[in-house]
Amino acid sequence: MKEGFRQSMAWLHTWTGLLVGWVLFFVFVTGAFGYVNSEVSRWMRPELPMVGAPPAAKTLLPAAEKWLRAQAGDAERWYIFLPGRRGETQLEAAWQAWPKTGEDYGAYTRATIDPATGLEDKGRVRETGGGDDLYAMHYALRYMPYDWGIRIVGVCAMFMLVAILSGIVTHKKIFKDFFTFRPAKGQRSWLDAHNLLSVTSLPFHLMITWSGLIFFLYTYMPVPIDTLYPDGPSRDRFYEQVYGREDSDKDVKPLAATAPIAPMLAQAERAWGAGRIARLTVEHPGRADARVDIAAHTLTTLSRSGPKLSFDGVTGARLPDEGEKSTATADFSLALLAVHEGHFAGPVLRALYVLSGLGGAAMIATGLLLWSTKRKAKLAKASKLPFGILLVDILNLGTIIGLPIGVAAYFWANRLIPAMMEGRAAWEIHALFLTWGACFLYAIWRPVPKAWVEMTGAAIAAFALIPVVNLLTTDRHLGVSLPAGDWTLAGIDLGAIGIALLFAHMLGIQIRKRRAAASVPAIARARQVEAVPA
Amino acid sequence: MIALMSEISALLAGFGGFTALAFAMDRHHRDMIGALPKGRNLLMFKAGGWAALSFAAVPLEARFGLAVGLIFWLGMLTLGALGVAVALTYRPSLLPAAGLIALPLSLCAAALSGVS
Repeated sequence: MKEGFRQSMAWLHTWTGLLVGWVLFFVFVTGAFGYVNSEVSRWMRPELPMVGAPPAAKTLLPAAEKWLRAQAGDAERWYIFLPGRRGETQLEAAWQAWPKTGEDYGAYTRATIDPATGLEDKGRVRETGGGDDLYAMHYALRYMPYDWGIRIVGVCAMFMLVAILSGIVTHKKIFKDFFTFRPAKGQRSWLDAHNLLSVTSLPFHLMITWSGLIFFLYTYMPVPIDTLYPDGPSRDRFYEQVYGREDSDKDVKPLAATAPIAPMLAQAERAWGAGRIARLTVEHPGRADARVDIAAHTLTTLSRSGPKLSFDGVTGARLPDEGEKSTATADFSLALLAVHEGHFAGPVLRALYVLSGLGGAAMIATGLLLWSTKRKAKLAKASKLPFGILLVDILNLGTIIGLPIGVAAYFWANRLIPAMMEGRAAWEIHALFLTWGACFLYAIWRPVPKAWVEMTGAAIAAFALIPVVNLLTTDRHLGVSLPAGDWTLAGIDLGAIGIALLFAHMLGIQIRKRRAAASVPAIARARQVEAVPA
Repeated sequence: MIALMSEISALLAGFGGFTALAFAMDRHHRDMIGALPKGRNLLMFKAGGWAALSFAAVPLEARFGLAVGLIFWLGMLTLGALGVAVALTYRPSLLPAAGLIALPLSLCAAALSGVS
């Protein structure tokens, strides 16, 4: 091999990055919204109450219990989600049915409950996928079977890891020119921006990519576990050995009245303070082996759920805390997953997570743009661009500007589709993808440089108008949320304005560049005129 | 304990620390001062920069615990480094002074946050 190590790494970085860059951009953008999934879901259901001191847990409990009893007196598990976490104001309940024969898990049903009546808030609160649908797309994509989605994202994430590591070698100057950014210099500026975004968030990029792969470790690398633990029972033993997870008992025990839950709730509130309870889980309600787990929502460490108290569901007696039974390996991988999800993050750290995610998307976008800028610079004199470069240009424009417009359309659709329309949640998502598709058609139809300017303008309008659409369609707009100090609601509107400003900045750069390009012949002419008398 | 002081302290220490490290790098030194560095006092800026970056972890560890503090620290360093990059691009001559002011302010914020 004649090429040196760095050249071969540069080749690897260029082509792995290009091949999966567009999917990764989608993963990073929707994943960044995943960090504010609760906040987006709350914004998307303007019928829910404004923030305020949520009602005491013990006044909410009967309503949730009433609904669960009416829906699923005999279920494998009940969940009650209390308000108060991350600006959430609604009471929610869910239940998991006993698995039918041939099923691994029973059906899961979740609903928002009206605390006054104990009935589902259907017909009052609009149906929406909210932030959770955006979040789910970042690892399972959409409009395809789950198993395909996670595998496609998995392959792209492996390419990402290769691109990051080879990128460190390729752009070795990132450490020497650590802080360098030279604006308005064409290809050099893109390279600087790409390097700066990469190197300043390198720990985040490595963490998010690697831990993302760990989520579906046994799907992506099935051979070891298939060989060592080939069948169902041995697979259960594996999970028990590594994660200390006991095989949940699928035998249905005889009926037995479940003890009142309110005293358990009071005991938990004494331990953690009022308003600190996130979730109650009742295992096997109404059965002889019922158990109640109460979880707090204050996470002080890298875990995926808060501290927990357990009670015997029949006697109501407090059960001893389960000791940690998992192995160090499992603890490490669970901590990695916790860092990926960031459930423990308060508002500031959560904002850093969102910014890091969007920064990752920007790093990918600048890398993609660099690919075509570099090749076009070499072809400056060619009258016609090769098909490959045209294709990359269209994919870049359609994704880098088109996807954000699509996401904005998702927020618009949430406000504009009639609140009580049947199947509206699916149409909100269709709005995202139809708009994104339309952006691609536009990018194909128009000359790419012109379309860049026009679509960036459209992106500015799409995001800047979200607070306006909100103002016209609901009473949860900035004029209400800001005076009430409801930062969850206001944060989404203000965030949309922030993204609009970002696109406005991009548009400014493009317009200045076009002007500069247009004035080059003028300067050249002026020089000629000056040259004449001399 | 005043809200957000741990975060502000870490951000200022990150900004000041990265400014010192940039000052010790040929290219960025020239951006700030207009000339290449003279003499061997760069080591002092390097050591000081790393010390400030390490210090940025202290108020966060104290407030959020070892594990979450560490994640927070990396996030705040990212923000501090980007701040230095923006300053170097648009106001390089003001950066040494800004970095120098950031460090004592970071200590003040740390003190207000309850770390002592």
